[in-house]
Amino acid sequence: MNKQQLKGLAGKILRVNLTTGSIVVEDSDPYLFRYFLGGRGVGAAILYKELAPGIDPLGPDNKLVFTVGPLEGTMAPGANKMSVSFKSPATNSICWSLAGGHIAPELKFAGYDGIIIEGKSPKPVYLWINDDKVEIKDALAYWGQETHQSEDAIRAEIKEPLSKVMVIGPAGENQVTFACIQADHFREFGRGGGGAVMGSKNLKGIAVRGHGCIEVHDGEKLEELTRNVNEILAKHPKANARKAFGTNEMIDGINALGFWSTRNFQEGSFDGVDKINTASYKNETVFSDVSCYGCSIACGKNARNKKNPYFSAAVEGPEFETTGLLGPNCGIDSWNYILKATEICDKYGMDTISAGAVVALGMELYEKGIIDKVTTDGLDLKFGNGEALVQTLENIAFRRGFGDILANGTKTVGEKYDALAYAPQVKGLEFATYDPRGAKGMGLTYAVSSKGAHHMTSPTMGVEIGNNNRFSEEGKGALVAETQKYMAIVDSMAVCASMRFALSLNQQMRLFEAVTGVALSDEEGMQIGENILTLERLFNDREGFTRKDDNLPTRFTEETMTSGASAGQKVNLNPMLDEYYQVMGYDKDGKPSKSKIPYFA
Amino acid sequence: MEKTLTVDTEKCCGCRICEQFCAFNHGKNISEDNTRIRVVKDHKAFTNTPLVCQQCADPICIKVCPTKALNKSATTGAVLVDQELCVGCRICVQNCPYGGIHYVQTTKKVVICDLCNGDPKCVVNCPMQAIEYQDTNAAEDKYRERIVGTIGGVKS
Repeated sequence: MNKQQLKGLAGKILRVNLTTGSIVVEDSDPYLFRYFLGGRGVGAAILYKELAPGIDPLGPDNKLVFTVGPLEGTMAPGANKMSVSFKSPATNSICWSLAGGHIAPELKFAGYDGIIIEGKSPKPVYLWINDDKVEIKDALAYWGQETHQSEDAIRAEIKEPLSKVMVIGPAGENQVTFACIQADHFREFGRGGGGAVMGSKNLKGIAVRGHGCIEVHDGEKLEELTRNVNEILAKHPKANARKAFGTNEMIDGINALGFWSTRNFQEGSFDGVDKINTASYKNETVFSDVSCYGCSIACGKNARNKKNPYFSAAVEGPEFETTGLLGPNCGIDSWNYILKATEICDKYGMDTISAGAVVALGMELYEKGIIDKVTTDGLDLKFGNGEALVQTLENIAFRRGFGDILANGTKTVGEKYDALAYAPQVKGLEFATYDPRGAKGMGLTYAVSSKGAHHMTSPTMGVEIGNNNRFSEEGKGALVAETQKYMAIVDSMAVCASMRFALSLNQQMRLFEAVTGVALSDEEGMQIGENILTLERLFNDREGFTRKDDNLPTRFTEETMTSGASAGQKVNLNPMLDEYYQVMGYDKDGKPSKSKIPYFA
Repeated sequence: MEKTLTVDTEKCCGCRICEQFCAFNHGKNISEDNTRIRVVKDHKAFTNTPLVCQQCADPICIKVCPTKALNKSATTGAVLVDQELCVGCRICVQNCPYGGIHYVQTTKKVVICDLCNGDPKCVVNCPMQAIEYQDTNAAEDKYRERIVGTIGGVKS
């Protein structure tokens, strides 16, 4: 098989060594894309092949592997995701993170299926990819700047208004372990600290501009499939809810069902929800809609406080996760402070999920009297104090005072203050906004995910609610395994997860075929999903991860939910773990029995 | 009756599906070289602006073209480019008041919206109904109403 036999690829991968300044253009290996599709899967394969076990995630040996898939740069619906894979400074495990927007297709138009960043630059630099002209450029003037400011400055310097630019902010430079990489102002590679890895390499940003085009196998078929998907989405109730309210359409439902992260997961429903419900988000803050490349849903919402000029900064979002972690989880019942906190995370470049979780843990420590104002730099860090939240987030980004401790994430904070029982993290990555006591599958999802407690590795809550068995542990091992495989495919096809409303597994395989010319059955697709999961687990196995790392804090396994519609619930993890390992063919300790991965066999 | 393409920048979400279907209809491949409509995003102003020919009644581009490569279609009113006559001088690009003319890097010539011969693909595929193709007489009603409504203190 060669490039001609796998259409849809740009055909080249860019390898940049920041230590030596070398820029090498390599041929894309079509087998890699046949066996791992693209995005997350190809990123995992490259990392597994190239990263030695035990390396320092913030040292020069770590790599940032940016990958897209065959579908990017074609008219395939919602094909706008770029994945970045790296060893995470938050978890020491494999990690990947995906961002939408418009930079992924731009990279394909420039002629590349991926970028591999190696080494460490002696001084701040940025990378400028202008079709086949690639330069490492001086970024000393931009070091220390906020994300939006530096993105605009880079765009102005290269004189390319249509370029797509990703940058890190001060949090990435200061190696906050949950620093993100931000593309085109509001699309983040959010989770796992990719921004810190970028900062450790003295890489401020990457700008991309492409003028080429991607040849596909069957353009007519692709156009037909795309029109079909867009027609389904136009009528789909869930897609229309997203179009109207963004991901915040979920606020009312998850809160009513009693598993919305509240006050560091002490509760599952928020007494102040009426002030920050789905309708108030729309009415009080949203002023226009925005979409990523080739997506007809337009779930992005531009928002600002329409009434209060003090909080006048506009943001894209906040997404539901952001609302949950910076809102109820910190006891905040005002869009003023949720928007303000989102703005702070955006402009300094931090993952809003982990940022909200770590501040909330600080708030609980403060309210329990484990820390006092001497520790919190004089801030009255109680739940609900919006000013304290905003100030603490700033302190984290610049590693000032207590912020310097929180900047290492909830696991480190939990170890320091003997609070691991209620530090909401797995492997060092903070929980998303769903309290697993209200949907047991989410408990297993958080526990077994190779990158830590990330919800989108296997978002089972919708199915669990629909099947009316969200409090049961039974069968959740199989459900999570199935969902994980499916999500591994979605992330590797590098289409947005919201496309799932209209894109069945079969339709994804048909899209892949129309673009690449390679026909895969649904079974072959699921096998690829399983292979990607196994590969990620083998990476972690090499780093010393075992069953004990597939765990949840005891708040979720021993303390029952005190109130709301999930009251009385706790997670019984072990039976689900046993079932999951058995379904996946791992041994009792969660170790893959042998490598059954074709590409590496 | 003559029809006109209008873009509602307040509704545009910047998904660029219009670019995709335009490019596919004109060249079977998704690339800037094939698309007649381009969405410009301004992250600071939170705006998305589709740049496309507005079918001026008396087009400046036709007047300034030194090789007479442009002419107005008698049936649709679109400005058509004779690719044989176009020399790629870009004077039309410089003079278009709407930024609606695009210079193609590979062919070194310009392309202008041809209204897909009266069935614009951007219109049917826009998920926000931000691009409309309607009778010239009625095309501006919505926009006029928006402004008059605001001036009158009542949002229509």
